[in-house]
Amino acid sequence: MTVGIPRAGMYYRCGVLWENFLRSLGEDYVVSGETNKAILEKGSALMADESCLSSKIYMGHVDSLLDRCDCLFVPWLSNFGADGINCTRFRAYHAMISNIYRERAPKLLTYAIDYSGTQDMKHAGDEETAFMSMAKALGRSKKEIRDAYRAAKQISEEDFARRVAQAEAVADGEGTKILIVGHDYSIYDAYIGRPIIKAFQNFGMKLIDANLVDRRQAQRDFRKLSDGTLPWTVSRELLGGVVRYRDRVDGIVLLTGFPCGPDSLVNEVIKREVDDKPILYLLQDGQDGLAGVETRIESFTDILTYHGNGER
Amino acid sequence: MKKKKQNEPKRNVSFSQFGSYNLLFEYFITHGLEQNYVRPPEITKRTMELGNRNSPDFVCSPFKFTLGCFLEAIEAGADTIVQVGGVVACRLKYYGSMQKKIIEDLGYDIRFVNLAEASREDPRSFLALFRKINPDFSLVKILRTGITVVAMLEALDRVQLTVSKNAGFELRDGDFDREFRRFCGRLLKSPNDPISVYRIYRETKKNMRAIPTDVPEHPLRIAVIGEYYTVMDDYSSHNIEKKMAKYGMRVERWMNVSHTLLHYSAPKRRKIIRDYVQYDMGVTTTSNVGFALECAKKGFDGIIQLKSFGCTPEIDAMPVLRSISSDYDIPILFFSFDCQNADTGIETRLEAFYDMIRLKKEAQLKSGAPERAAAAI
Ligand code: SF4
Ligand code: SF4
Repeated sequence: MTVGIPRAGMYYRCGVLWENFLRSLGEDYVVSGETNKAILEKGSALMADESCLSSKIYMGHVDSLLDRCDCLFVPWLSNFGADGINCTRFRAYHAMISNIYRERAPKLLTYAIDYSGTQDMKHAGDEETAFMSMAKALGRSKKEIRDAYRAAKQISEEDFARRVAQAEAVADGEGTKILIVGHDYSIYDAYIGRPIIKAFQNFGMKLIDANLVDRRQAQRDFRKLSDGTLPWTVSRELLGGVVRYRDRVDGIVLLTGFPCGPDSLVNEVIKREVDDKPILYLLQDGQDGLAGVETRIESFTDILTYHGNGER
Repeated sequence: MKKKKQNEPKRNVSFSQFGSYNLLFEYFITHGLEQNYVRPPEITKRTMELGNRNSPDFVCSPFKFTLGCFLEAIEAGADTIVQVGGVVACRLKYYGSMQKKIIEDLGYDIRFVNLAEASREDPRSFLALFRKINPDFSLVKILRTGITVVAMLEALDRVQLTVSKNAGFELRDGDFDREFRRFCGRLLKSPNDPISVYRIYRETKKNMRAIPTDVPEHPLRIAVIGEYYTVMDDYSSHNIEKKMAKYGMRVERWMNVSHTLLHYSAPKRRKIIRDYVQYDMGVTTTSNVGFALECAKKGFDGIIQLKSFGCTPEIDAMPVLRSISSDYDIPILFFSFDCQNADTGIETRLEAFYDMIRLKKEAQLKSGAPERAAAAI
């Protein structure tokens, strides 16, 4: 059985866990290719116009996998624990896919995380319990699943810690530094985010991803910018990242796919609360690629370099 | 108790427009918390502009509506603002925090009471919020008024349902609306006990039954579903229910405050929609999809979904609704409203929808397809 993993959405947060889990079980799996124009166009055709850019990309990836796998990997991610919830879209993908492809009825491999347990889902629970619920679908014993999960979890946590350490090193290092605040699936997307990163790098900027923070620390830090009613885990971590890095960077870039629900509010918090750094707000709808954005990136880096020179 | 209150000036409390529910809030503030209530001015273009101008980009429109209302209420003398969002795990939960920030940044010095800070698991957290409005509140009065207000809520929603279902068939334009307004006025003046509320309710129902109507043998029955705020607030939905009534549609809407708060079993609805949704989609989607499916099974003539532009959970429900629509051959119309919608576009789409379902119905009746009788009032 080949499992298909869309290279979109939570893949960027959980992909290391997913891949190592499947690999250690010896399952065949395939990750969809990098986002390109065709994938985005396909996804846009499948989704309502007013859906967010990243969900269009996600659905494009799902579509690209249909002929290449026996089942799609679509977890139900209501939350990651007690520290907030996820955007409702990550609960909706499962039902959206089964209804968009109703005729075709692709098989879906799912684990459902719902720490709060309020959803009376069959397999709700913490992440490990949720993974165990895949035992039957994968034809494995509970023990095999548990061992594979624990090993993969450790690898993914080590990998993340390593990336955080790298980001910290960049923040402590030399050069003109920019904190980029956005969902990881926007920042690292080959079509949406990476061209922007590259453009900044071409101007000699050092980039720090606000997602790369100690997550437990970030859950405390975000309260310096917001009260505790901020619901989303990822948004809290991003604000925590802003708190963590703001004094060590020269400017901040907000990268948002139109019309992202959480970002519509979180960006406003940053704009209102962070007044000592230049902020560039890049809102993307996937329409015109890098054209137009490039000049804004250039003039922003100009400001930062002058700013920096003046201060030093 | 009384003594202390003489030195504490009463606060002027306000709340945003939200359908007809403001009157419940007004009653609770004046009778339960014994403060003054500032009615937010009727929503106008200006309210919208105020809200729009001061809101973040592309935030969902209930945010803009409520912010606009708050700002106008402050101009009208409110010094305390209550935001009730927060029972829902969506952007709504963060409305209050953001709006407080915006209002403060505009330089207003007000007290902002954010219900999102309370937790349903901990009743004491609500008392802390009440204390923000009136530090010397009387628990007895709050409980007593609470009971009355719950009775009012039930009555209000039932009467509203009667209006939705029947306004399309009234012989004299505006009869139901007039009776409804009278009912609201009487509730506000009602003595503080559920029996008085019930009496008013009974009389209103009687009056409404006496309104001359002409219900065709096979009226068009339409299920209205959608996002919480827009579905319940006439201004936000461009009075769509009234427009539907003009076409003689029998509007059935399950979603209202009493149903969702007091009479809703999510596990039950999840079971009903199992063929379409195996994993809960969040917020109001389960209840909406469930109601749409029930109506489709009952042989309704159409479904209309109302939501604000970009509303995440309701957009996600669309593919599911499409499946139901094709399985049961029931047409569905999607509306997304933002602050700039023109009325004419809405009219045109509604009219086209009406023409379609009317023709479909006529063909159906001619061919003698079985049709279940419409429920009476
Ligand atoms: S968080 Fe934003 S970008 Fe991500 S799925 Fe939700 S609306 Fe889309
Ligand atoms: S349900 Fe829709 S309108 Fe309400 S807060 Fe969520 S996204 Fe906004």
